[in-house]
Amino acid sequence: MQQAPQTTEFNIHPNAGIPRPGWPWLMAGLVVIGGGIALRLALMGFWLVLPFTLLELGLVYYLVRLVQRRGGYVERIRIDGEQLSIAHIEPGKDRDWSFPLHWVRVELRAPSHQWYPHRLLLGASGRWVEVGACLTDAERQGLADAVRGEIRRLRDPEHEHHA
Amino acid sequence: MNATTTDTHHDDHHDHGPAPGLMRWVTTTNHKDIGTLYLWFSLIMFFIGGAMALVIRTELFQPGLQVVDPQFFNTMTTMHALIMIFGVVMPAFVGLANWMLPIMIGAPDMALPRMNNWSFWILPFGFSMMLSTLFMEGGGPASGWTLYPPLSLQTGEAFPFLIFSIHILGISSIMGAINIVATIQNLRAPGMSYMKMPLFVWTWFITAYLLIAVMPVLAGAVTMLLTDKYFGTAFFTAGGGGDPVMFQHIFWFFGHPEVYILILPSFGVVSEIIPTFARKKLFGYASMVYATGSIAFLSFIVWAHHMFTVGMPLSGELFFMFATMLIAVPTGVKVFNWVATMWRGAMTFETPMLFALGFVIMFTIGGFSGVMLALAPVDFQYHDTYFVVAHFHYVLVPGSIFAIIAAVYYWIPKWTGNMYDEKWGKIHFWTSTIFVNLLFFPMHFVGLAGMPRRIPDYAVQFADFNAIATVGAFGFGFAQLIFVYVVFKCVRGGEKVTDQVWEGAEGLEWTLSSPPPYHSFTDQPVVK
Repeated sequence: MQQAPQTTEFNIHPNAGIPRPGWPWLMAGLVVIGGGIALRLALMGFWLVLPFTLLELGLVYYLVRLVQRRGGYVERIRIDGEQLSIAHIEPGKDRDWSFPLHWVRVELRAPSHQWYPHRLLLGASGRWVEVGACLTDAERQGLADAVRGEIRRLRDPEHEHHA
Repeated sequence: MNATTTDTHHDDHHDHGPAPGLMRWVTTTNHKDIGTLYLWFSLIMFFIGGAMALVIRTELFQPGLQVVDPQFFNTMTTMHALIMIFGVVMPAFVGLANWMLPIMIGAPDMALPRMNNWSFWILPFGFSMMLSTLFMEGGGPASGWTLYPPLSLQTGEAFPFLIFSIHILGISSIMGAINIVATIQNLRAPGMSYMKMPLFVWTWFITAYLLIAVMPVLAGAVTMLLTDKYFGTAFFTAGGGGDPVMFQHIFWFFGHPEVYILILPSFGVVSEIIPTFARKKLFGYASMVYATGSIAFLSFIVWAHHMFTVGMPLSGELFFMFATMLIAVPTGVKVFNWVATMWRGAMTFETPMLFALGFVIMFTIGGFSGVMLALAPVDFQYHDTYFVVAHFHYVLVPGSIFAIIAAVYYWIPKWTGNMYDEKWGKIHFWTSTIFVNLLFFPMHFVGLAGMPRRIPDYAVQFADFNAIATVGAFGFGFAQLIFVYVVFKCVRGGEKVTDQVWEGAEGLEWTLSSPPPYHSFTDQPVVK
């Protein structure tokens, strides 16, 4: 009797990310200090500090958002009895791919230079999607093994059950 | 980092290592390459700024006017300061930050690598523009690096070029600071909590916030000078109803935090080196962090001690006097902690340690003369004398510059994989230490006796001390050629070092190979 769950999900996201709750406070601090200084000087008539402060605060905000966006995505690998689907979840840049489970291959590709990490590619029929680029090599290896195991189990649940 | 669809035949053909030839350095986004560029740039500017110092000291070797005319002398004092502050000390610390911050916190690179490239490469253009003013009608800027009006408004054609170059340097600094903040806040390895960060990272973190806070003030101040000169405004022109003293307030509101921008990373460097060669953990890590934060905070409320003599209310003088003296408390905590770290340590005295010890002793001398200058009634006597020159040079030369040199000796085996020549390193230290004291210590005496600064001629009673100072200047200048020799020799080869390099060294940077791979920490380390 088949008892294996029908769907398995892996969620991958970079562990380094500027914490979202902290940044509004930090920006508020910069605005209060920098803006306060500039505003005080402006009120005294020395208003030309203000545009430079605004420019700088704008630059800080833009760059912080940029860094946040780069680290603020999730890769979701979902495997069921029929297919393996991959979703790249990022505000404004959502993408997804799906492959028939029986054709999916998992490749941990060796780097061409030793200082580069391995690349984990999932795909079928000549289409490949890289996942887990934010992981360490050991984590990537572990993910590859886990995905292979799940594919094997869901392709042939009875064999897995007997094993 | 993003998931991408790839074809089997297009595999991993991008950016395997440094690009070949000169373009490697122009287009690089690698933090180590950019750190190297900053450090070489800083060394070149050190010799340009140093040559200007030697022009000044040559003129002051004897009383009377014998080598340069007074206008050019003033240009030299102005350019020497601008170059040493914005072209040597700041870029050197940014270079060290670029090299070391990512590998100290376990990051693969800086958070914004393309901007990192840009923030370096605008620097040579900024300084070319600044140096080009020497050849302009009316000569280079000669009003001192503080650019006080109305004197600075009398600058000739050089003025707009000077202001624009200051803007470029400011943009570079702001971009560098934001990059450092983003890197430290975003790219620390798992487990690298704030209170586990190395002190060098902490001090740079606080310095970067100081830079972000004060750079727009400098930009605004110099732009108002520009509009006063060319667009008919009267922000600082008394004739139009403006207030020239207000420029001093605004300038020093930037300028005093700037002083700490020049010294806080030095504290970080010394806090890395002393525990290594004392073979003990840093004494009072948390108090070091809080002391750095306190110094940064106090730097915003002490600016007027630079201008006690302009005439301000007694309550103002008292406030700025006491606030300034308060800085001695967190600074004293730091000095105490460094000494306590060495206490009963298994000390050895390799070149980085010698420079770090030289820093602690001579920076403290500069700190003490700073406390003297903080006393408002006494400052009326010392103001604008060579005592002030002696004070800030003790803080900046055997202070910041010694810390930078110590950092280079400490980390260059890691950068190159080769050990530097220890014998010549020690010769460099002792010659530098002897001559730097010969150069700056007599300035205390002539200053206390009333010799004014920024004057090419002086009364004959100051002649002996000035002659000694000039001998010290040339000795110190030539001693730096030893440094260049040691660095070149180390870059070209030498005894191979281990990954840890120093027996007592601890931290993520020492877990990497020496030299580190072009792309470090492609596997993220975990800090326990």
